[in-house]
Amino acid sequence: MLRDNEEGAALVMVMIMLIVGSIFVTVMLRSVNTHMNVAVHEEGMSQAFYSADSGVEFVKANINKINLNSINTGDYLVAEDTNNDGELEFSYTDTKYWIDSSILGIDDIKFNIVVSSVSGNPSFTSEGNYTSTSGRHYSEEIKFNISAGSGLKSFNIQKDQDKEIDEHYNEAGPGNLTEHINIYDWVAADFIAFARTFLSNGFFDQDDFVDDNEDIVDIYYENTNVNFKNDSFYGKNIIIKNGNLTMKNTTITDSIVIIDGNLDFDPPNNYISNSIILVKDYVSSQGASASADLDNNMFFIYANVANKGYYLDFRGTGSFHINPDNLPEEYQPNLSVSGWEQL
Amino acid sequence: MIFLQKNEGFTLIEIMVALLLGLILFLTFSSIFISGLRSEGDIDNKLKAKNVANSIVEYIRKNKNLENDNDIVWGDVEKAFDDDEVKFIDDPAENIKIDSEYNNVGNIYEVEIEIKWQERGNERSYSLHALLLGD
Repeated sequence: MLRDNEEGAALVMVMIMLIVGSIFVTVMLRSVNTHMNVAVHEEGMSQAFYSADSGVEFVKANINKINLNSINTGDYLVAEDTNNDGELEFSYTDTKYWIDSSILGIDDIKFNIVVSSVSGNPSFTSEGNYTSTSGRHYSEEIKFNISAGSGLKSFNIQKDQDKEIDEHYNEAGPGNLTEHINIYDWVAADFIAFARTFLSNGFFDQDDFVDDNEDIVDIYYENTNVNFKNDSFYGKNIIIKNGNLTMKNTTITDSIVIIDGNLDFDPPNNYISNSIILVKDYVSSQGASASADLDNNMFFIYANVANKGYYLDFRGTGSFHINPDNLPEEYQPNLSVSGWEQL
Repeated sequence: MIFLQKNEGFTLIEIMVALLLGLILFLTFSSIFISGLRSEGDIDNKLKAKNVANSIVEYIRKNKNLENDNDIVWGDVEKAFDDDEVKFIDDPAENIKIDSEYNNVGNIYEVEIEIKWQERGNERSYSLHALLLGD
């Protein structure tokens, strides 16, 4: 019996060698195959990621041309050269819209920009897409916010008697200037005259306001503190000379308000929208920091700051409905991309 | 005596056939192994190329040394890389090509990174496109 069994040893040995060899080869091939898939996947995801990131850079590059008004969650950004002048025009659509070589003129970059949230600073998602040579599709997403007019922006204007007023406004740069506008040695006699000068230099388009004519004052008070209570103003030019304004349950829309004093919000229900507010000294809410529903306004606060003297600060709220084309560069809405987050 | 008769050994032909079969098996398995190892090397190169391309894009993004219609010279970029990182490329100055072109439509630079390297006498390449905002 023992002798008979030894006769098949060679066959068994060969079979074992074949099986062991096959296992090794199979493991190796599976490993190579897996690594190959990983490499292809990595490449696809990398290309898709840079497509998505290109979308963010594209938005950054065109941020001042992108309309942030009237956007809804789920809207896709549309970029088209509708005028065939080499300049892109931006709009929105509710169907998926890819920005690719037909717009950019280059291959391998394809993305769409969708509005993912409109509460607070609007947030967008850039979805990058890449199709490999084998036909596999890869997708990466980056979420980001667009914030408008955030923070206080200093606007200091150096005075030069040899220059015209509008030259000052056009040439002034922010920060580090040794001299600021001072209403008392400026050509304007006082804050109101300064405000009038400021507003009449063509910085604002009359079309921006329903009833905009800076030479016509709709509401004028002098040497008195004014209380707006349960009032509503629409498209008005309001000047309060040498007095403070307190608002309570009041709405101001599409107006220019010049206050030669302080502006105080007495809660609740104070709304200012789509307006230009020029305040001397400070804005407060019953003495505390300002708290009111301020949307799409431009606040110019002319305040006496310790060791600086009077200077003009600019603060924008929300996105801007008014046409900023006539504003000096320093007044342009300060839109920026923030909150970059890979999904 | 019976055992001795049964252990008289293999014939020359049997040994030759066995060796031949073993050789065929060995060559088959080893060629598959070598092929697999080469593929691993190729995959490794591709991943390295991808990582180098990504690193270059991030370097350019950080330093913003974009120029219109000019190749970004390798010298500007190589400072950012340790030599070991691009060792698999014979001559980085020759084999890493970086183009940036101003895209009027989007007011933005389009950047193309192309990495080339040799694999057993064949030229391989990896390219990456990205849009980057200039200064």
